[in-house]
Amino acid sequence: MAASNLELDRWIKKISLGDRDALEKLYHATRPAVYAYALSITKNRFDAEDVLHDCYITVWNSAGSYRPQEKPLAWIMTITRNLCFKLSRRQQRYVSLEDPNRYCREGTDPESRLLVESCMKLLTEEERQIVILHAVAGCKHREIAEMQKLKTGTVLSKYHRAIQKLRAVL
Amino acid sequence: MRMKNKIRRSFNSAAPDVLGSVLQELPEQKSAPTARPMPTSPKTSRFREFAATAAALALLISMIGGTAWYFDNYSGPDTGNTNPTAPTGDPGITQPSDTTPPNEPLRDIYVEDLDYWAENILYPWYLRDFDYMEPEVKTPLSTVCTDSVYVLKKTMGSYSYEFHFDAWYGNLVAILVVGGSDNTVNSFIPESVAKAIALLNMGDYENNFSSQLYKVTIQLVRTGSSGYYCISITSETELYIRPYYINARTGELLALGDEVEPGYTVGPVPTEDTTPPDGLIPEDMAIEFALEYANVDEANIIACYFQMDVMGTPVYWILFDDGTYYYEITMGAYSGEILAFPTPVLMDKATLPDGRISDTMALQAALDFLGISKEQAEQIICTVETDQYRITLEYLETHFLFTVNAYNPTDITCEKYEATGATPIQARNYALDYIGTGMENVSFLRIEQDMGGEQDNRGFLVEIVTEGVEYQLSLDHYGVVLSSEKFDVGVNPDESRTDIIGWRAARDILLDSWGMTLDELTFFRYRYVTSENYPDRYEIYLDESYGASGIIVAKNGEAFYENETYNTAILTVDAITEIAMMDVSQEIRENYGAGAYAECFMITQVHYGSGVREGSIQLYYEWSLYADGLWVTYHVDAFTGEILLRDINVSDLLTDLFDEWGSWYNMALTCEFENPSTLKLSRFFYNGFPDESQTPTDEERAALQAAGVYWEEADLIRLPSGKMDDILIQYFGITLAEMDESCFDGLTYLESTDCYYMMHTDAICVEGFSIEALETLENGNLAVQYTSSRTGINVWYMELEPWGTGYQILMNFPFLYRD
Repeated sequence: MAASNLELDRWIKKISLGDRDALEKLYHATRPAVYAYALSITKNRFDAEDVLHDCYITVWNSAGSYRPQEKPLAWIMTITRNLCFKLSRRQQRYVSLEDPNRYCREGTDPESRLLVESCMKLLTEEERQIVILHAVAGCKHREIAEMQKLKTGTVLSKYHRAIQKLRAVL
Repeated sequence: MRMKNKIRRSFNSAAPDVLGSVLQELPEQKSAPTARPMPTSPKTSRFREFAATAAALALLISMIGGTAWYFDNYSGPDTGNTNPTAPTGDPGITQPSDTTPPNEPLRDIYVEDLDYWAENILYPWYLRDFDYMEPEVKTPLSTVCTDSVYVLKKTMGSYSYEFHFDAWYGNLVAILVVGGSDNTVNSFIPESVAKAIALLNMGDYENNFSSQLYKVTIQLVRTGSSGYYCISITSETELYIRPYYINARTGELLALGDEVEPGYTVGPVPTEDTTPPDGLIPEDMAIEFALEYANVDEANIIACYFQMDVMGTPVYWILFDDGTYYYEITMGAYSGEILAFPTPVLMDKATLPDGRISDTMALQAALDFLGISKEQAEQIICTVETDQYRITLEYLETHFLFTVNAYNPTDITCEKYEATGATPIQARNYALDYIGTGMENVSFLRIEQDMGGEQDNRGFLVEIVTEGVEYQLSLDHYGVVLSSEKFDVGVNPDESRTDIIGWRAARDILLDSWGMTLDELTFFRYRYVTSENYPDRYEIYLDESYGASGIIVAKNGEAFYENETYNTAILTVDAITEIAMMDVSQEIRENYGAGAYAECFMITQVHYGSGVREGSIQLYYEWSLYADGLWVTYHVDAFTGEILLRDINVSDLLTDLFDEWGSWYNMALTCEFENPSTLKLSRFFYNGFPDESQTPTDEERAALQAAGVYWEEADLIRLPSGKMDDILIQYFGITLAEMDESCFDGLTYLESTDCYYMMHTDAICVEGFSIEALETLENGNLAVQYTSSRTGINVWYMELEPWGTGYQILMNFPFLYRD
């Protein structure tokens, strides 16, 4: 994710003032991270898509309550996480376990599909979230440790172990 | 391509694009107010012009019962009420000629959005300092929409405040302070209101209330029964400080001080000499007049002061009580004229006029209930809620919550909580009690614990779904339910099925397989999943990170994992734990000797995972523990108990070793060397031997003084060479004799004592040791890339050789410079 925290902060402030362009910029900068994080919790792409959509609506509605000194990405990820839980307790979705597109939409290139599916199947929940937060969202290990309430060393070791698992099959 | 980039690219490719639908569904009007265009006059000139008129204006607009302070030429709310009348004619601001709303008021704050606006825009951005209003942002505010302004009203104590906002742009244009009826000694407007009034008078729409650009200090100056706030505001350029003097009772701007240079302490309003002049009414006569005026025969005189009031008038301030009421009188010190006689205030011990008991009586009822005195209780908080008092206090490590009927103190209830705060499980149980259900019926549970900030701000958010109803409960630190919201979410369709086992039965199967019980759950979630080939299954999660989870076949209750179906005869976590414990005990004994014991082990987490074995899926437990600083992870076959993988991870151990302030490992981080023989000794031993007393003798001091390396003001660090050798061998595998000559720079050696010496006045250490990468080299050494307070954002490289129960440090130097 190329956007810095400062840029994200600025965009959120502008969003609170009703700036749609800022929302688009924020969306492009954070979409993969939000989707990946949502997918890691919901474990199916349909729910993850819903969360992705709802996340940016929530960001639009809640930007006014965001404090600039907070970590913007952590804020967005918290929204994502809460939406996942909200979805899971309010909506029953019937998921086909053998649906080949359970994790990826149709048209996803085979290499990406393999990697995403490996992430979903081979990694534990915690490992998957750490990998996504670091590799996709661009969070530092220290920030992830704070978000996940783990020690930095634990995050580091889990991340490396997860990468080793993925390397073994890719 | 690196794996990290591959992952990022893959999820980027897999993520759908929903921007179109997002933009389509964005609500139109839930946006912040657009700031009104700034006046064109330069800020400084406006200050100066405003200053010239402000004090005079302030004296003109004091109203009976209230005072409004308007910024700009805002002409006041069009309510038909002439109170208050706004000041006009501020020479620094251009009066808008057209006061009708814009033709296309796209940014209007509509009435229906007002609550949203107040909560999401007003307080976070404009009234950030108004912390006393934030917790009750919605309910106590009544909203009034007029043609031109919105008025937010707030009553607090004996005061009411009105905040007037431009209805078109949402800018704060006025604060109205309606004085309380009980002008008692401590009845002043809050600092936050006074501060806002001062900032409002500065007149910078965009920046005033974000508090980013201005430094504000505030001081209450008591003047007898009255007082004023002295508020100094440092400009954004910090070229000058401007003092504002705000009447602490009315919010009136009394005076605007001259600009002063930063660094100058802004004092109170200069008043005349307060020495009692001749011709004054004697104090006893003043008291007599006061009692007579109050129609009180006998009184307890609490205070009688002569002083200058805020306008420089000599007055007596007399405070007394007659056993029932407090009286407060301000009297002209020469004339004896009564200048102020606020309504007497009922003393605490009496009953309130409306028949309610006082808070003192309510508290006493609570104390009597416990049979303790007020001095024995701690953290007493007493609040009144219409017809009942809510009293919390701590006594003997227990937190008590009392509810006392405000009309009948014998009608009292008491609840007890752990004063140390509730655990998540306790919070869950309090929430369940509140709802009136048990864990058995909970189909979704999530507990969020906020441990940040002060104790008052800590607490729990507990989300529970039971019988088709979702509850969101907010609990305080002790587990007391503060608020509760309820939503109808409907019963899940699978609950009406009779041909499959229910989710409760499925849950119990999974609980059994994990050796867990309902009582220990802080998270629970299930989902009914189905497909053509794998119909009727439950996905169940027993902890939030899904460490304990599984799929249960709903038809026959079999535990199901991925693509294989197994019966439930898998080993329990307890059994797996026992196997791993036995193994690690052996490991510890082999490496650390027979004396090492397993009792110190602490299981930190238990995972359930899957791996590939001979083409089929294999079940295993991923099991981690801490043992003597080692982080050991096991994969244990869930059926056979066979240990499949044992990964001893040292990153945590290293962090513990190197992050310990002032330890020898930590001191090594202060040194840069590629070979221990070049280690700078004066740096490594900079703190001396902290655990030992190495007091130099007078002879040593004299010898060092003679050598010109001793001065009394500094600490003399004494380093016996034998001890230095011991440390160097242990941590670097080297002795002093093997070290380069340059290593001894900064040290003075005395042959007579065989010690090295150095002098300084401080100590050093490295903080924030954080491993970036860790690798075991072919020779068994550890290669560590790390950052710390010494390295900053740059990365240093360190190579460690396992030695005894720790490591020897072979090298430590900068490795990667970052921009």
